[in-house]
Amino acid sequence: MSKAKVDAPETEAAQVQEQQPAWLQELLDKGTVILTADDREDFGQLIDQIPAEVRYGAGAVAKNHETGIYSLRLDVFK
Amino acid sequence: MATLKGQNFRILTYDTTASKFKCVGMATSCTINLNTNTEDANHKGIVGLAAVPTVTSKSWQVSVESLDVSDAAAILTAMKNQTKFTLLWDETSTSNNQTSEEAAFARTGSAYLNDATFQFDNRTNSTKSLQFTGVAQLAKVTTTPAFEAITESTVFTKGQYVRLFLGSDNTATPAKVIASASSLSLHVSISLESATTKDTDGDWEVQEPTGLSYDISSNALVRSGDTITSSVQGQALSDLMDIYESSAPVKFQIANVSGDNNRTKGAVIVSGSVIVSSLSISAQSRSNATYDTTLNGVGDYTVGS
Repeated sequence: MSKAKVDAPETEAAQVQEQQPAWLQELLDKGTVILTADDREDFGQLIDQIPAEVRYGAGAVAKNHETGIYSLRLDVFK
Repeated sequence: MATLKGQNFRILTYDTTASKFKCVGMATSCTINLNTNTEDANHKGIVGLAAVPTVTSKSWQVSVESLDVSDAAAILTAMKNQTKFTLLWDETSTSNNQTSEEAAFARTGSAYLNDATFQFDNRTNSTKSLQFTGVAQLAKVTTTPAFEAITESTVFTKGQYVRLFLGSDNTATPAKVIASASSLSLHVSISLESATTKDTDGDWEVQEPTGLSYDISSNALVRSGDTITSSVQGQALSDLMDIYESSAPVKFQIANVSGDNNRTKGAVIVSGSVIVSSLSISAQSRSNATYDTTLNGVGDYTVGS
């Protein structure tokens, strides 16, 4: 679980509020984010951190067959 | 002058956030159809039998196939909201085939995404097929389009990791997958109707969306031992027959899965209610018995859960 991360530039991550993970802030700011994880089951715990009032959708989990890393795209709908 | 290869002919959509065109990612093929409707203007004053076609209207369609299904939620939302896209096609080059060549045949125009199919087949890379229908005229590209390169890497979704969960009623959240399933497809269609009037400039057809429908197709193996006293871990043929005979809608979810037998539900892609519109059983000698189910969406789908 701790290995799950987000494809976000470090400069943006530094601006993130303390209480929210960088990937969640990016999702809220940009409306979309791509999560990455070492295991496809890790995404569930990440998604649970999204506030209930945020309307979002998920795509299909993809696997990079060169690195073995999984990715999941989330989109916020307003 | 060399022959243009298919990978150097790409469809791009305009990203309103970035204010730039972006290629449809991981595309495998595209088709562009420019159509002309004609009317025969032959009359008694014209000598001979030959037709004299005159142009009454023109329309265009773009189809794209892609291996990228990560944007399923965005696509399904765009269709639900009847979002209009700005498309561009152009010759592209460089190592990722994404740089504009500003070809003389490049065109741009507005279109509705009126048909989308997501295919999730067992042990196969999942695909999406998109069809756009132009809502008005095409325009020549006269200035260099603003492009933004996208990241296209070797990320694929094997079809066994996206499954259909089907309930037995229209209230409870569906918890069971279709047992022994081998294929799954989700098809969403927006019907378009011509809104061309005397006010319309030029020959181009103006299209307006008038309805949305969706259907889900599944193929699965018939399980032996599915008796009246058995408990199958998943919806089997007997369950589908019960649902069919009830004529009532049931809840569904299409979700990412993991875990044993790929049955642990992860992020939900789309959910809603469906009725069984067809159930077809095939039992050929010396082959696995299979059944195909078509489910028609009842009311709006929900992106996510």
